[in-house]
Amino acid sequence: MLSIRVFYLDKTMRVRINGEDFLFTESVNVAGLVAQRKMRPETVVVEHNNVILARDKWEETLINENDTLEILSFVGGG
Amino acid sequence: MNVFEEALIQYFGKPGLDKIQSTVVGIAGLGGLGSNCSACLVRSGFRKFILADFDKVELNNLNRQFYFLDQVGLNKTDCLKANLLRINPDLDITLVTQKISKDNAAVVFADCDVVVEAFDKVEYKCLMAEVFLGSGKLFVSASGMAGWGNSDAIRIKKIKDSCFLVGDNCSEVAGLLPPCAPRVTIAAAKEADVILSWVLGR
Repeated sequence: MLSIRVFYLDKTMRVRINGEDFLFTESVNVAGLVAQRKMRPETVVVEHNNVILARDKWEETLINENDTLEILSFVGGG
Repeated sequence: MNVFEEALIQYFGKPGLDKIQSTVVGIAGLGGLGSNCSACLVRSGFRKFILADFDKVELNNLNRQFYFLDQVGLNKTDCLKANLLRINPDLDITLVTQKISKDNAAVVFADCDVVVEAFDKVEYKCLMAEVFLGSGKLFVSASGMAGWGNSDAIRIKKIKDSCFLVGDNCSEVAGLLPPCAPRVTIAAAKEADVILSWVLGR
């Protein structure tokens, strides 16, 4: 079971996800970010600041100001 | 340069064709995506490939994959090579008839400039993304092309300069949503188009 941590921030935080800028008003870990997007973790690959992040690191990895994330989610077929 | 390749110069010019012909493309999975994507690439002048699949051609592949009835039961790698060579007899193709895993993926496709994820199972799509997303190679993947209709929803999403994802990202193959030639071929052709435009734009 993934735990989602949320802390409220004094100011907004800019994060780049899949090439687009997003503003966050609360701190969030990678697990929370995936959950917010209603993605099934087993179908998702996350690259955090140019490093592939293993699923067992999603909870402990907090998103910081100016972080860059690439989030890919997949469905089957081909 | 053979007559087929000479005829391509009118479309790409010599410098363009040189770029295309010097690019090494790896394709992981030679089903509906991989077989059709490779055919598009060969028709566009690409000649260096590493093609990987451990599977054999089955009857129920013929609804969408670039194989023929008399190839049922044979290795997909051998059959695809034979079919592609009918388009251009001077291709440089390395076949890998084994299962791709986390342990061998980086080695199998080490010499590639471009890697195409063309598997059907999510587990393997994720595996390829984990290995190649940050590799510096162009990584093209696909997700969501089952069923029929609404094919304009099959889009190309740029994840970053070296990564593109093709598909509607929601149409998963299932009992009532089978993989069919039109949508699967559209996704495969879009994977090929991403590669062609990336190579010509270099």
